[in-house]
Amino acid sequence: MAEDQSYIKGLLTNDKTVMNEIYNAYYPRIQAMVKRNGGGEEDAWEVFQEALILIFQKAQIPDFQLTSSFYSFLFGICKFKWNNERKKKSRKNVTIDGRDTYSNEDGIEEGMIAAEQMELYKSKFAELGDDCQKILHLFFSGEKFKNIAKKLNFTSENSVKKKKHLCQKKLIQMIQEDQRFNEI
Amino acid sequence: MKFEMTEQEFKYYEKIQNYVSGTLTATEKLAFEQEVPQNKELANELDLYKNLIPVIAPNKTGELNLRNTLSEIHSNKSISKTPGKTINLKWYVSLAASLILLMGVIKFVPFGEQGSGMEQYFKYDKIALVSKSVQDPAYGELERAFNAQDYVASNALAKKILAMDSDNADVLLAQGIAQMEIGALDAAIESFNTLKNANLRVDKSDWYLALTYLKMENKKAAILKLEKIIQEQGYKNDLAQRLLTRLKQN
Repeated sequence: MAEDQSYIKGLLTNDKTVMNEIYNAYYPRIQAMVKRNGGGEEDAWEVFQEALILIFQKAQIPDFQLTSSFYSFLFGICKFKWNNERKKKSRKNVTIDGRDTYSNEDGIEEGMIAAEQMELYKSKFAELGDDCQKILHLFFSGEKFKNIAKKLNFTSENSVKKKKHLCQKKLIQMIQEDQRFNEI
Repeated sequence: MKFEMTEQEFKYYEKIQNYVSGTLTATEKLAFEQEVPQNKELANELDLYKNLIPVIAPNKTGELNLRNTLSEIHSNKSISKTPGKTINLKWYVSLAASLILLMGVIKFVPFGEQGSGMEQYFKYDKIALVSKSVQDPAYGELERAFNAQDYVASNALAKKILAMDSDNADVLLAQGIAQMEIGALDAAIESFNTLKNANLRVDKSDWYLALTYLKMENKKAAILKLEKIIQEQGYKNDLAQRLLTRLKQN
């Protein structure tokens, strides 16, 4: 587990030594899974890279803690992503052969859930109106309400705050109303 | 549906926001933390709020650095996997040329849409970065690669330039299109949103976001973007109208 936390830290700090370790230890296994399920080298590399980016993104969340092993989490994300990719290409449901002697199923599930959640949140954010996207982006990027008001021509800080809360409420409602939300 | 907010809801969101941003007093923080396990709705909203941070405001610079390091490691391993092999330059050049030709054939065709007439929507304006190439030859290389529809090379060159010139709107736009073409769709969305959020090439970003959503098969998001373009008489308004009609028919 200590090693797993060091992987997360390595991703966050762009530590090349740690990333080399992650690559050497796990890329061949992800590659094997993708190839076993109809993909090629490039597909495997794309899936592996995007999965690590997703872990990097998740690690930005305050209090983020891995509750499974790093590898199971990574494997679950890759499995979800490759499954999705194949579905898009074949336009039908596919079953991914997730055989892997080094992984435990619970951790894989956690990775798959994380990837599915992220996909759902991104798609709902994309469906929000432009004003809402802009205001939430500025706020979550750490911009002060005062500056947001100036940038987006609001009359007061309080009106920005109210709009931001409204947009947030709308986004959360859209996410919660999506069928996938209750299935995840 | 009109969204409104009561005073109570306003305070509720204010509380979650202040907790996550660490601006509650010690007493308020303790009270909040005691309330969370008792209040399922609050716990869910807090969890969602935290999870939305990397979606709404991704750490683009960090992601870019991570991508660059990973690409470097991957390239090194790929090269070291074939020791002793002599590269026949002539063969290599002809392979690259064939790939470019091949990309020329398949580049405008989204998933599952071959021969369906969708190609007309995926045509891009040429870019001109020559004036910048005095500072750094990478700009000229990107211009040549992009205009030759070599999107793999364009993406790599754009990454390299953006590491030093992160606000260059033309490069960001070229990168977004290249990412869309090579299937890095999440990354493309982020590139176009970065442009929009910086108030750069906003009208073009909407059009390319619509195309990316289309490739992602998120028809609803694509329709929303197209409707916005039409309403605002934005970039590629006529084409947006045609595409929207087509999407609504199917």
